[in-house]
Amino acid sequence: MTETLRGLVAPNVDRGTTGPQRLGNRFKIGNESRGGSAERESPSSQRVTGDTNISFDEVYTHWSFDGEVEPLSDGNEIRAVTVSLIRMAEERATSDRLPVQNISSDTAGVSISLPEQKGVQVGRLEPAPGTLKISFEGVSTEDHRQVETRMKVSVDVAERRDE
Amino acid sequence: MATVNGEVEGAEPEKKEEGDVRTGSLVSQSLPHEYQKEALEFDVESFRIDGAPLGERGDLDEEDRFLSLVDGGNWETLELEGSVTIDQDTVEDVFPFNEWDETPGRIALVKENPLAMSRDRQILADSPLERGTHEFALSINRDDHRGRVKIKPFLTRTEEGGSSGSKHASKVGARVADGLSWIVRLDERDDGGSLLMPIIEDFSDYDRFPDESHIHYLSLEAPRNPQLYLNKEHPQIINVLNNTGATGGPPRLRDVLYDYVEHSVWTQLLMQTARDTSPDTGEPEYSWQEDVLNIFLDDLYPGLGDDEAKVQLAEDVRSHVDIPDLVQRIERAVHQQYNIPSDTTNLIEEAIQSGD
Repeated sequence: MTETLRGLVAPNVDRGTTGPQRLGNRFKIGNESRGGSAERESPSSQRVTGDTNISFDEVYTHWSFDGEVEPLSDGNEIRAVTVSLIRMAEERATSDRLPVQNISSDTAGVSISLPEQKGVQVGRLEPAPGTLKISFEGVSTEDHRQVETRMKVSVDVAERRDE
Repeated sequence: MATVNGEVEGAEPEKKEEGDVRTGSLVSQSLPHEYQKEALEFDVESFRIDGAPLGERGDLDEEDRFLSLVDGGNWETLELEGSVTIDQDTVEDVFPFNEWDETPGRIALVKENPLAMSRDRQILADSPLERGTHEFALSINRDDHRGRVKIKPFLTRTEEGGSSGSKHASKVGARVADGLSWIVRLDERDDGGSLLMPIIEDFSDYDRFPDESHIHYLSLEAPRNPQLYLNKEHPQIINVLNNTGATGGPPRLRDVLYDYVEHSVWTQLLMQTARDTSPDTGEPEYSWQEDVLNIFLDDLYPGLGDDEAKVQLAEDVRSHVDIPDLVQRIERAVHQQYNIPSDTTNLIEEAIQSGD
């Protein structure tokens, strides 16, 4: 009985039509305010500056990289630098990681290691107190997949310690 | 020079110093082969709207290679005509010597419109690639595009390359050169351009939809393009959801139902975004997920900067140990998006007034 009454008073709703815009507008995603730009500068990149490069060495079929980084603020020193290599998929998506085979630095007093992050070897540099700039270079393991690859250099900075 | 490699055991990292350590990052990216940026000369020689010259319509900046048709009135089709030119030097840079005569290359003009989830290409020249100028005509249908449309030429390989040890690309489809893009900006839509305009469907018509006890369903089967559906099987509820009033019982009930739908949808969007965000770089996979992160990051991880928070979110969703805490964080963050006590109180007061 109740179902019958409901059927009689129910409004006619077309299927496949667009529903309430007011509800859709509660989800402010994919809209024009974002500007569609993929090139916004990351706030964290502003803590450090420098020059980093990566290129594929077709003779040894591995990636060679180098860089020189320093804190943006004069009051900061470098506590650690981590270099990771990431293979790229389509449309900016990241795929898997590529191990760092070796890394070196000619900056005095730098401790070097190749720890694992998420199961893949990365390059890590830990400088002596008061280090304001680190340069490094290194290579990946052999890469037979040879797709676009990204090097991420993460730099831990903190206020300079009294020596 | 201090050196360490994978075959030598690395020194154990020192313990982390106390203090406010912040992390910054620099990123470099490279293709594994020779690539010539902006080497293709890409010219647009004419724009026509519905068959007529552009004239005074739109805002054309040829130097910046930009055409804005925002507030450009009603139109259906924008037609572009122009050319892409490739010279011998570019071919010699990106193909090996033995391929200079019969070059296995293809020039494609790629049109991308992320907000409309649209990407297509037009092949202007195919293998064997001829140097010189290749003309094109391209149409942009207003109804199928929105926001920023990017048009850019690429040169790609069409055949597998020779032996390894070459600096040149060898894989079929590998990009080897591009040209400067043109940007066409289209007007915003009245609906604010939200990706999630709901669609009304009969849930019982589709096996993949939930059963009739649901009033809404967020489809994430195509995560690039999530879609919100409302269940036509509950016409009275749909009627309330469609109500556009400001006061009275139905609008008050509508607001409470919106809160309910919003909570469910945001929670699912956040979980999908977390899963699609790289724990290495903090970058999400799809553009709408950037917006989700911008909306919620501060509430999810109030103590972290944006980049750290993105990485943390990506790590938490992949950690069985951290999932319960993440779900609670998401619950709290999503609650900030609406005011359920206020909306429910309004509904109760409306009900009491009606009962007097």
